[in-house]
Amino acid sequence: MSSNPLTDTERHFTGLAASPGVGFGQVARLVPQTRPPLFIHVLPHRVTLEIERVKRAMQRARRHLEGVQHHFREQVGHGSAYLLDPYILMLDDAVLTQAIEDNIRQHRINAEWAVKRAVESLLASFDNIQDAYLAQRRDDIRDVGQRLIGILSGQPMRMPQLDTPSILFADDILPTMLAEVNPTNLNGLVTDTGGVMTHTAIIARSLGIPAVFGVQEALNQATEGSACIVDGSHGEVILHPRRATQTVYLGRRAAEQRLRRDGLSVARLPAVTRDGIACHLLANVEIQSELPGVERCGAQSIGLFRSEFIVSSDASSLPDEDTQCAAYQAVITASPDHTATIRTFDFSSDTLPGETRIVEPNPALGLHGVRWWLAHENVAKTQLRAIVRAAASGRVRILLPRVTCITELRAARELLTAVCRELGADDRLRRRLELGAMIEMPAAVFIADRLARESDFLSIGSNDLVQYVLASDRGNERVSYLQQPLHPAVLASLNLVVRAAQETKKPLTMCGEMAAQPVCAFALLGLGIRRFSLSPAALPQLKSTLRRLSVRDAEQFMAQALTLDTAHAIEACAQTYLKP
Amino acid sequence: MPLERLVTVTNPLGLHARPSARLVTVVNQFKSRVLLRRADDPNFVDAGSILSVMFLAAARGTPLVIRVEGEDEAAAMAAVVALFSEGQESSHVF
Repeated sequence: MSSNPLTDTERHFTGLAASPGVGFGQVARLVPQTRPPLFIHVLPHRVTLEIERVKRAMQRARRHLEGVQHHFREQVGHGSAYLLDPYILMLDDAVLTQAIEDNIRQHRINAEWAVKRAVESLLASFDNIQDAYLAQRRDDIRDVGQRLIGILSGQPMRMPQLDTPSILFADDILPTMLAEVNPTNLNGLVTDTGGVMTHTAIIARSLGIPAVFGVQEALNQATEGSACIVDGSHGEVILHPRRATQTVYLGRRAAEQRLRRDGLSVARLPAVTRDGIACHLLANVEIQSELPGVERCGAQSIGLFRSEFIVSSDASSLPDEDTQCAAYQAVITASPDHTATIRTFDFSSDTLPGETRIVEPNPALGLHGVRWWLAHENVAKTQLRAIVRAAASGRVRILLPRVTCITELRAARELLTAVCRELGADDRLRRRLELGAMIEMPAAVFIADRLARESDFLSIGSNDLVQYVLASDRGNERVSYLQQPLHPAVLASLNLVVRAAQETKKPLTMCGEMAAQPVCAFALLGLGIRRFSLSPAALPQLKSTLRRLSVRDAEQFMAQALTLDTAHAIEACAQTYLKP
Repeated sequence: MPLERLVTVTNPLGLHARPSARLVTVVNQFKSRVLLRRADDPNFVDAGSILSVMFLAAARGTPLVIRVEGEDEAAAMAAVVALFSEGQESSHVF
């Protein structure tokens, strides 16, 4: 094929980051080999023959998958080979066999058509299932059906042999098909469909194959053999990358590999200080594509999910209850301990979506955070309903942003109680729901003791706390010198909050990037903070920092620091401990 | 008299593919007939069929009734209940 300067220009596509890593290769398109099955009426004497054909096909498919599983186990170990168990069992399943047989007998149809009908009716009964994870098991049933039809029609599914480094493009790739590919030359996977919780995504992650799902445009435009880059950490697909772009992504790949090597080795180590004090590392999450990285970076839990990120900025309305519930459920199930802190919508007048936007002279001091949320009771109730329903898949800490008065906490508690009653939530479910205040406004710092008494937990938002305490916008260059997380006023504020949490024995989590700087991590440790929630990428670094520090040193330093006058002096004092 | 026991799904993801697969594999090692139903639904399904077990859509916290009938019913019940209680300590299985 001759190259065409018009179609060979670099193109970027964005999709769902399903499996992390960066891969380079040539586009290899997976063309579905299985034609739609033929519909044939069979004569009565053929009925038993058709049933025999199905049984033989099921046996053959099962033997084949057992072989794939054996091979897969040798490649990636027992860890994920179990993922193939359900398919093998389905091929021996009485319900499936019976459904196919019944179709052949009742409708006098050929085996292929009977499989198609049986699978369709089984899929229909999955339509009523609310649970997001279980509902995705539809793919598994489809997988088995396609495999059987392939065998019956003499075109068993076979994966392409990849002779050169390749990026596999497929409208849809079924889990068992991916397990069958020789991963040696498989450097990436791009599909039109699929979610991060599908078995295909799990298998891609366990094989370490970068994958981006849901990029239909890339599939339309990719031609066999074109150069391609897949960045499964950021959900990007690039066709015909220019040399400069290739260099950028080679750099990303090297950085990822380094992170994986260092970070993953750190991620497996416990988060304890040099003198043996255990800390908790949690992940801040904004978008769903970050979810797969949470566990990989060594996070124990999701410490902050900023729920307003599920609302697109040009949306004319907020997502409905079901959409929200599915999003929260995905967050809870992706959290390693199936507990997630979900912060209720934190809008200010200038960040409200689309048509709901209002004009205020000073949004940072206006109707924002929990104030806006409580002023829109139907929004608050819908969100709480979605959260309560999602809590069926784990535990949720509901976090109220920008609290300034205890009455806000009380009003939210009343709403939560009302919603639980409406939904008929039993005690079991209620116990999985906690309510807490985010301490980021100066007023909240001074009433932290009262807030702690009536909260189930507390979180500090370091970014906003620093801005509000020092009354300076971090985006304003003229006052950027005031971004001083070690300012005596900030440390005194943090100290008040930590004492309030300790006296009431309520868990306190520090959310924000402040802890990413080793000198700040040292200060926070000295103040008594043990739970840190940061973006997943910053966690391995924080863990190595914590493992080098000692709480005894940190406490000694803090005793001095609280008496010092300037951020500069405090930092200099810290350095005397940190320099060897 | 068939044996009956009430258990609760403790796996955070519910009775999904992997635990379903383990349950079915264990059930099929016994001669007894093992049935399962949601506590809120009177209809039992065959615990030896992975599709039936998946169709129960038993999320975490779902109470389930196990019924076992057959010559080795006591052993079968013990094995199935063990699978459900295993999950109390490790989140890997149930």
